[in-house]
Amino acid sequence: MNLTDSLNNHYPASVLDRLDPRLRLLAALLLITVIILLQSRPALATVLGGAIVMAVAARPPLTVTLTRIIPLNVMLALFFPFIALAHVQGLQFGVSAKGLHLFIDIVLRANALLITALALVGSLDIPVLGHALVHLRVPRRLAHLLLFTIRYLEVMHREFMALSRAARVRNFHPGANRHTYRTLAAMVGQLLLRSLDRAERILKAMKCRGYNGQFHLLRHFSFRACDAVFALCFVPGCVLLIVFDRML
Amino acid sequence: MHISDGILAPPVLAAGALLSAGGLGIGLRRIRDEDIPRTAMLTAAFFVASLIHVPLGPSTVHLIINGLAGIILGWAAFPALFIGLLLQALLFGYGGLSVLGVNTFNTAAPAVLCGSLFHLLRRRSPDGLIKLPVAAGLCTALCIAMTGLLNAVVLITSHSRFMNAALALLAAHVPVMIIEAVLSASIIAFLLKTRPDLLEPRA
Repeated sequence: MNLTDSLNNHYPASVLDRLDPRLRLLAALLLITVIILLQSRPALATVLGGAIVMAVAARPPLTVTLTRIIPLNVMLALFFPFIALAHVQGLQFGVSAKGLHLFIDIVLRANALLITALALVGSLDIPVLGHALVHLRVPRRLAHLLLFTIRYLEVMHREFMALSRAARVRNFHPGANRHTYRTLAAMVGQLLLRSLDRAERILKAMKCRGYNGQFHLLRHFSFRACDAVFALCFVPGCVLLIVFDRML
Repeated sequence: MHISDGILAPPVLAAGALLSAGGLGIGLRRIRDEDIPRTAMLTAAFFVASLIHVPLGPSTVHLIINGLAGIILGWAAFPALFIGLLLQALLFGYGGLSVLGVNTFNTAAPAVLCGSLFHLLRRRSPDGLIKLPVAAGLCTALCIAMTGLLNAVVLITSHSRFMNAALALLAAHVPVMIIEAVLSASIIAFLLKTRPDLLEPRA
């Protein structure tokens, strides 16, 4: 997976962009909680359908969708034999009904959770996500750490790529041997040193500009009529799901 | 080693979220405003390090590198690993938002413990009795073992049918444990040679 591509993954404009990012985060949090609490299969299937509808509205790029959904389901498939296979006798194994039901519920729930995140959170540009978190009163330092990390993630990745190219120029071929481990350790160590040197320079530059622990956010969000309409549909929808689930 | 969305039971997820919130609170209180660039840069560096494929036998493994993060960052490993896991979920879809609390706790709590243990050994052990790289290797191996155990425990407490999966997951941590111990020991040896002041705990 290419880090640069992932960081710059822009979803095309969609109806969901009209919503306040803060509302989208809160809606994601609510829906994730609801999905975790659902117990019946019809409710799980309904919520998966709802998540898919929202994901279609958010228009995630096909590559993003596939690179999320395929690995999750491959992982779950690896999990299948451990929970659904039952020992019959000798080398014979059969699929147990209970295990199979449990597995189907896990697949529905996992996909519903992933697609919800993809639709409501994944479509937010990550810096916007950081700003929305600050406005939602997430601890200030945590949000600042997140924003700084996003800013310098690619810088650090480039540093590492440079180190790895330098190693290849000297004919470094990774293999399972002591030399490889020592080389990789030196590369990671060097990366840590460079990150610290860079941090010192950043702090000095920030102090020169009068840094006193404040990080002024210029982006503000507004809660508008369409947000109210969305909230008025979304919250009762979640409540109905829970009621539907408990009635079954 | 992440646990995916959709597998764990609600009480386990809630407990993970609460414990992680507590750890994050302590970690954030220990960071001064001046430490934010340093912590963020190390977070980015650890994130990049976790993307490396390390050859092991015929295949490769990814590092969790939480032990080293605990040694260098102390309690700040909680926010650092939280942000790392959040970005992995958002950028690559590894893990997931619903299990963020559990995954943060399972990697960060052992990291903080392993970091304190390393610094205790560093201060208390008589000179030359135990070499620092060896101590780092042992502490990081212990750290991965604890992460593996916690991962197994959250699976077992979620559903009685997850016992076999939990044992398999625990076994999968063994190669990672060995490789992390070897690499962390070499990284600490490298840092001792180049910048020994880095190993003074900050947070």
